[in-house]
Amino acid sequence: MINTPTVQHTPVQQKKMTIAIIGNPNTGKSTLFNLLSGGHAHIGNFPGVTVEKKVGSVTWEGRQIDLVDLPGTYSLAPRSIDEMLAVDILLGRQKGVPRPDAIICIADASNLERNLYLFSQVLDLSIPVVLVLNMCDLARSRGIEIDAQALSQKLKVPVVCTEAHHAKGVNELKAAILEIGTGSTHEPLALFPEDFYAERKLIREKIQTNQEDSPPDFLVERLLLDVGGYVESYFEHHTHNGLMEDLNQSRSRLKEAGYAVPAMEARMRYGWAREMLKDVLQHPPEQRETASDKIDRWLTHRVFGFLFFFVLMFFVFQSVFTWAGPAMDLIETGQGLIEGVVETVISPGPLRSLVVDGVIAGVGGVLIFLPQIVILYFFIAVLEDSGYMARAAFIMDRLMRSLGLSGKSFIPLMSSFACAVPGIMATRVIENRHERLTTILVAPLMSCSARWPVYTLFIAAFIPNIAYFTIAGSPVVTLQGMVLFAMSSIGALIAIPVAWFLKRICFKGDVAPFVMELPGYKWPSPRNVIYRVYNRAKSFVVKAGTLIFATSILIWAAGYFPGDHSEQFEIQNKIEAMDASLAELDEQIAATEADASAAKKELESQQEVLAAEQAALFEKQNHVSSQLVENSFLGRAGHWIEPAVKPLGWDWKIGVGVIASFPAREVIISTLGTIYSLGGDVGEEDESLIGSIRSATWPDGSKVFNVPVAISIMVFFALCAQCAATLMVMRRETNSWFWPVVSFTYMTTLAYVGALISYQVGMLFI
Amino acid sequence: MTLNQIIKGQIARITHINGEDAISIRLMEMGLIDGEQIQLLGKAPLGDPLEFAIRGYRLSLRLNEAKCVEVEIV
Repeated sequence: MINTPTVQHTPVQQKKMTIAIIGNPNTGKSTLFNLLSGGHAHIGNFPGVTVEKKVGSVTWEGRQIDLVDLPGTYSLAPRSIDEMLAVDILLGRQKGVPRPDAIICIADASNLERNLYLFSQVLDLSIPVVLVLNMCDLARSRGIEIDAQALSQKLKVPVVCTEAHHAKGVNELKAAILEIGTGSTHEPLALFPEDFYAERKLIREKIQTNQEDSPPDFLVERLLLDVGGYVESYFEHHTHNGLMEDLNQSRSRLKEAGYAVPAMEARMRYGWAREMLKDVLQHPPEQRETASDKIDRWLTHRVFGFLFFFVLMFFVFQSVFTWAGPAMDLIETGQGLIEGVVETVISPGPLRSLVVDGVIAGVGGVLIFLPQIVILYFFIAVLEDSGYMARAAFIMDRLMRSLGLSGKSFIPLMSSFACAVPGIMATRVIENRHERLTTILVAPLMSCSARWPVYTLFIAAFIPNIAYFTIAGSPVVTLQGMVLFAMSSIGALIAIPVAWFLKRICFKGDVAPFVMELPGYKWPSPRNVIYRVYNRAKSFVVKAGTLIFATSILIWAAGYFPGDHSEQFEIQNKIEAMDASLAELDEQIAATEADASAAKKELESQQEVLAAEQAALFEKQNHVSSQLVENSFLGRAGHWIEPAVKPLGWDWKIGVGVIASFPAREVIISTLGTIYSLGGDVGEEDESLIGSIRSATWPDGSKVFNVPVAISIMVFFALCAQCAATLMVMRRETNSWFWPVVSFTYMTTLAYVGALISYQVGMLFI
Repeated sequence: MTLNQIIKGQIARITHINGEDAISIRLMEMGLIDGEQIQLLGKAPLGDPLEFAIRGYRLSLRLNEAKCVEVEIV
């Protein structure tokens, strides 16, 4: 099947080879890359662009090889800086990536004619290439016969058949790559008429007058062919002023000669592809309806398609919550156990406070979301791999377009209801940069699960439990439920004008076409699914975890210093000593149970006294803690911002809670707990927290909290960007600090205005 | 007529792609070239986008993009 190489390979085997992998979307490129790299890929971002950087270093038969995975693309005609990246890498113009010694071009064997379009552009790069016909089994099952040997001879490049899903054909592919070796060259295809190359020469001379290094032929070709493309705007900025005029003249001369740009390129390349496949590829006599078509008739059906889609989405999100529950409990228990161990090892003091309240609480607060992210990513990987994701975009496109987005944004936004972190990571399926940025910027407005503790606390404390509609004695519609629903949907509602504004005003004039392939349905490859879930989980833990770790320590320090904690630790020591005595008394009581004598009664009364003393100490400790927080940097900051939050109906304590909950929204609960003299260890359903919040007063004796204040806090937390993990992922995915700053600024503004309106309007009704 | 006007199941031959913008270039890259046959397989539940068969694969286009493609019924 493998053709004899057309180029002589050098016997010297020391030099490291760089191999770029390129192909259309949905050709099984990632699966094949994972197989070839053996799962040893480094994933990051290329500087300056949003495109994922996947590089795998492997050794084949003693030969060191760097595999560079390029984003899936239909063509090498770049329209954005992200698309330009693939061209730059292939031409050796990208810093940090050497010019590839060879290219692996992956094509879908069942859709070869269209896939050869990209391949013909790859041939023009003058780099040795191996053509991989992937999914050969699928092609065969559709009655398509390909003579790979004959195709290889016609194309003059090695052709390898693979079934990446079944890990078949990988060794043949490795052998074909090693045959090529380094330092060999490859003639460009040069499909275009003489007139075109004459114009290319002319343009080259024009741009070279002002440039020292001469751009590769391929770029000059793109400059001439891609009307309004990225190469055009690049050279327009980097060369003389009259470039556009020269280009237009060249293009109109070509048009007169009958070679109108851009139609010429497509016609020539597709003509060539058809010529190459003649006598090599046998189609079934008539286009028969494939199994995929039959499934599609149901899954994109007017009624059933919608129904299936919503049932599936409901199932996915239900699973995210229910399946993640036990694992989250486990993480929480583990966190408690570690805290317990630390508390026995380290005596009360700054170090213990740092480890328990700073590190364990902070990092644990992030890790708790890992199960949800893993489950959600499992579903996303399965949906993508099976081919359904493209249908989801197809079905939702019309609805999403009313927001100025496309169907491809639906899944990322839906995911953000669980947590914006995986949601933002899921935006990678959106190729259009502006659409992707819009989706990333509105994703944190979707009401994630971290907001629920805040809603639950304030609704339980202030919203009366009135039932409006009951069935068989059990309430169906309640005021509390309605408020919870309103809080959960307010962000999504606000996202509509925000997305509209971003698309129409900030990213104006960028209409993303929805020209998308609907790939055939197939069973997802378990290997690929596991690999992708593992990678996402790892990057979440490492990248988001490190930042949360740092921020937690900062916030801890702000709440800890500069106070004198010796009294607090003394009390803490006493309480812990009492714990031991109480436990001892417990044992003694248990031992004396047989004889219900005066001795036992004596012990019990001792225990009661001790317990009462301990309770008093707890109260004192809480008082001391709240004093310490008030005098800490965090507390001072709270006082300092009080004038700003007063119009929202908040006192300085709520201000502190808001500042402290910068790393994660849920932190407001434990901060309020600390400040309202209860100790940090309270939950959102804690009756005593609800009680002390209800009874909190201003210095003049009036109540701090009422319904408008509660609503104002909830609205603030529904709209704010108080989540360091989200901002970090945003930075990583957009490769710039600019977007997280924009997001934080606009969301905080929205949150403030929203809270202000809720309080001020609410007060009119009181 | 244009591609957005054909009905489900109908096969049409492409005669011309209008425009030189990003959308028309993308259409040509995906293999919508004059002389090529294209069939409307169905529509999304809300009537847009559309699903077509061309060159042996399934392509989805919005009504707006299909408008750029001049066709004649075979």
